[in-house]
Amino acid sequence: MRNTKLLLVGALSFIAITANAQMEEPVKDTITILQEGIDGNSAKIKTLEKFKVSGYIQAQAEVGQVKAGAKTGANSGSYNESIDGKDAESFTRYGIRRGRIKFQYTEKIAKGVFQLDITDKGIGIKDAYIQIDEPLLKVFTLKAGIFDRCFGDEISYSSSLRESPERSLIFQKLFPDEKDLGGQLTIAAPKNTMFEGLRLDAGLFSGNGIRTDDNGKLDFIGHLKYDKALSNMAFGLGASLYSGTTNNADSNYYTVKDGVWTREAVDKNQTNKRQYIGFDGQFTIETPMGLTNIRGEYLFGEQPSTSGDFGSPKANTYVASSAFSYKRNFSGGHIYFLQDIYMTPLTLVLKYTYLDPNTDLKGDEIKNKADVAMTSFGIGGLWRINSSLRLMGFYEINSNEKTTGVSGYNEDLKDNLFTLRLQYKF
Amino acid sequence: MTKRTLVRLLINKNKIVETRFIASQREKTNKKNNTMKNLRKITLALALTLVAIPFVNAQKIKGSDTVLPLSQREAEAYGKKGGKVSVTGGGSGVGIAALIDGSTDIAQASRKMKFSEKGKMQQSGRQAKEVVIAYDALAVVVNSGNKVSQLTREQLEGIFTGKITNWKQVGGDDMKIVVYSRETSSGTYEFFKEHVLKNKNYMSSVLSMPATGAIIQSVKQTKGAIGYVGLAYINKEVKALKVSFDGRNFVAPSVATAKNKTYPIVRPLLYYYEVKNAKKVKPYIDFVLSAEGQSIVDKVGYISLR
Repeated sequence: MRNTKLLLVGALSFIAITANAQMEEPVKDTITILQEGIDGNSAKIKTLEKFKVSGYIQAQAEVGQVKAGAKTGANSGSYNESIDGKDAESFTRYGIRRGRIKFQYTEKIAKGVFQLDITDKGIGIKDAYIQIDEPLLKVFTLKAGIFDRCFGDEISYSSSLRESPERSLIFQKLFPDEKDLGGQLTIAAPKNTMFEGLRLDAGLFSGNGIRTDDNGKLDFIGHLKYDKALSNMAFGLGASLYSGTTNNADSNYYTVKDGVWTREAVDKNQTNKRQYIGFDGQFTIETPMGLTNIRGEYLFGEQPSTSGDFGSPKANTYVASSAFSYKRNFSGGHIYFLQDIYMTPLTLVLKYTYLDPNTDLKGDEIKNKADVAMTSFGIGGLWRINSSLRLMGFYEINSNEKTTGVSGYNEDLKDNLFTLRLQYKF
Repeated sequence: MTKRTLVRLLINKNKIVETRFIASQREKTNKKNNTMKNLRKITLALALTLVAIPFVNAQKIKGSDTVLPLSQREAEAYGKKGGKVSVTGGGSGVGIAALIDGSTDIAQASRKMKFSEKGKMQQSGRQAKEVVIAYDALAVVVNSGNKVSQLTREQLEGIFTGKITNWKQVGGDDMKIVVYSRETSSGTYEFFKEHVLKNKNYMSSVLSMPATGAIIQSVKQTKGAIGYVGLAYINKEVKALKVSFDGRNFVAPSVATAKNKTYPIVRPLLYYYEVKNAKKVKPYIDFVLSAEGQSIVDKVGYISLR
């Protein structure tokens, strides 16, 4: 009983002391409480700032003549007689052309980047790389993983900013997916020095695009660039080199001699020279009409390719049935003319692009579709509705070199294409 | 149970009841205290909200620290007429960036918009309109004990690019020149580089100051110092130099010499706004450009348009 009483008194005393203590506890200044809250939030925000998510979605409708190649829809965007109608003059496709989401985490000098492409066709990888920025001179940057090849101007010009729906014909063929697996060093002249604006990107890449490397050999890609901005104008000049090889899984190698494909016996799996040289230039000026932008690129070189396609490897090059055994000397390029419409968010877009995949064959000498030269003239308009939303209308008039050597190519193909694209960027 | 035990129990019960009562009262007091705390928080939040409400629809001005005192005075006078404007600094670059991302209505700047900034503005679907609201003369200042009182543009270029390092090279004492400049984000930095240094780069060892006041303070305290400040910041603690761009006529900085265009280092002070926002910002900008607004320009120490 005595113990119970003692316990009870002890408990009551504790309650009383605690209650008293609570009463006497100094009331924290409200500003201090708010300050503590702000400090806590600031620390959290600093952590969150290291992580960035950005992206864009491009939804589009394409209306093409029957031989056009749409970029959305089933059947590789081609006209389908049984679906689109036997005597149809055009066909329409809808789809998500690009659905990009990019995750980036930066901690001190290094960052890790992942970019995915999520569309109605599925999910694909676009970027996965590590970037290290040298902190002292802020001149050197190192990249390793999957990222844009450092060749020319149009590859690194984001599709979310580009004023036409697709990159030029030559870039689509030479650099499918734009990305490659490799390592790259960037040297950018420091600001406020006489070399400001000068930049060199140089790297070694697997050469197979966003696919696993298949032979351990690396291709060199380099781009030397100079950019200068004045008060009402800016310009840039650049030169690029691609120097590499492609495996030939065949025991024959084909080259053009006197307008005819000639076969030469070679060792299986020999590597053949793959070399491109490019020049690029950009010029922008501000006039009372708004900004005027002219930019262009010219490329030429030597491409080991398959019999039926001029394009670069997108997969394993050790498959004999699709051997890269045809040497093609090529040239190509593009030019853009962009004009803002006075004090409006509208821009007029004109674009000319051409690709001659085999400069050694002309006209009726051509017996293979892959050797036919193509040109495209595009006219379109951009409406930048706000900082996130953009509407683009673009009509491409496509023409091809004529030859009696390839069925259907004795006249211009009906392959013009109109694209209406709505883009949301975040 | 004995009678004695029963009495004890009753006493204890009463004590418990009493203690419970006290505890309950204390709990009430604590609750009251907490309620008071909460009430204070709510009152503070309400007060802050009430203070903030007028600015919810207010026009926002952000940017140049040089233009800041002028905008603040203009906003104050405009507020008396019923207008609502909030003004913050940060530098010309910061204000223009805010205009590009749409987080300010007006960017105040002591330099023109850069070409790259125009490009970003275009990409975001916005078009910027530029308005000159006043002019400012940049004065080159040295320590009041320095016997040099005038310099040519070429000499200034030599000093700020590091080719001239001693005051004796420009007629002064044998004393090392200590060069002060604004930070690279400053419009004043950009203007001085473009206009006086003819786009040549500042010497690498230039001492960058975050604000004009810091330059005045440093020049006042350092014998061999030289720096540049807005006309409104000149005081007796530093010496403003006469400057010549033609090598013959040396002119001292003043409102009069800036207005009659004999002083060569004069720059416009600017507002930039989005074309789509013209209707919203026009009443305030019209006020700044009015006789009343321009009289404020004179009072602040800048050069009015009239």
